[in-house]
Amino acid sequence: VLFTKFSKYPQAMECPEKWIGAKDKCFYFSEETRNWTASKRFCSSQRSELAQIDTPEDMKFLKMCTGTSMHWIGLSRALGESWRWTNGTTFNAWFEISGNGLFALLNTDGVSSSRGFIDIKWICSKSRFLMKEKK
Amino acid sequence: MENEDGYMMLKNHFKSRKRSKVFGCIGILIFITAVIGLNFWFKKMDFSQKENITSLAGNNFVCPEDWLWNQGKCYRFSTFSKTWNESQRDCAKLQAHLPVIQNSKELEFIQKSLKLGHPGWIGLYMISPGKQWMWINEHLFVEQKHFTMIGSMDNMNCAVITRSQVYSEDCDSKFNGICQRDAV
Repeated sequence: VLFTKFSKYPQAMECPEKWIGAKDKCFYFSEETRNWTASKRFCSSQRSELAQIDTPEDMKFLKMCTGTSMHWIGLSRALGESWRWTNGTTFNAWFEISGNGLFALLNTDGVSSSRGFIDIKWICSKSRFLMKEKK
Repeated sequence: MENEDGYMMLKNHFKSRKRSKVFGCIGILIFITAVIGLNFWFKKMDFSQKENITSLAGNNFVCPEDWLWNQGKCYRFSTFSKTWNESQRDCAKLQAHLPVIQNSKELEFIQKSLKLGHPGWIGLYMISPGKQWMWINEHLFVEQKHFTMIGSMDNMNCAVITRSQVYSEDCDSKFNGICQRDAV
């Protein structure tokens, strides 16, 4: 079993300093606060994206880490369109996003939306496995 | 005679001394009562002044447990994220309301008390899109240099405060509530 697990993810990276590893991703939790666009820019500068949440395990882990603090994640939408991750893929709506805002944020209560101007914390994510990131 | 005169003189002398003594006593008594009286009056003045100051500062009013005191008002910072209406309802249950901010010191206090990443609703909303901002006590909001609003003005605007700014948000978004009430 171990062997198959290792062979499945051969190029596991160590997470950079100040980043937290959870399964196949590294996460960064900001200490400062910014608006959504500035937060997205920060993550890009770190060769990462505003947090992409793909599994219930990811979600559970992030909710636990954010606590009651509000954090930007990598979901946004144009007016009247569906939610998209920052890499352009459409969000398949596996969790609920409350409110009418165009930018998503996360805390322990779940995912809600905002107009994106407020200064809150943010989460960046990047894959631990180089192969997975290539498209 | 001499003896008598001498005696008389002595008697007179005694009388005059007695009189001066009596007057002296009365004088001292008047002086003392005056001093006491004045003292009392000053004390009274002093007291009334103190009373004025304390009632201004609200020192004789207190807040319920878990509430923060500032300038005669009590504040409670919730960590549950709810819509503006839900937060206002939560405050009402505690005989409080979302904050109505009346001066820059109050604004500063609320912003200092907020934790990073915990924006909170305040009692400021826009009646209809593009119209006037209004406090929940029905006073109109006047934009000032230390109190400006950031954000777009779509439908249903409610105000959210962070440690550094005040923002216009959609009233159906979810943020923490801040409750305010008078100290009692």
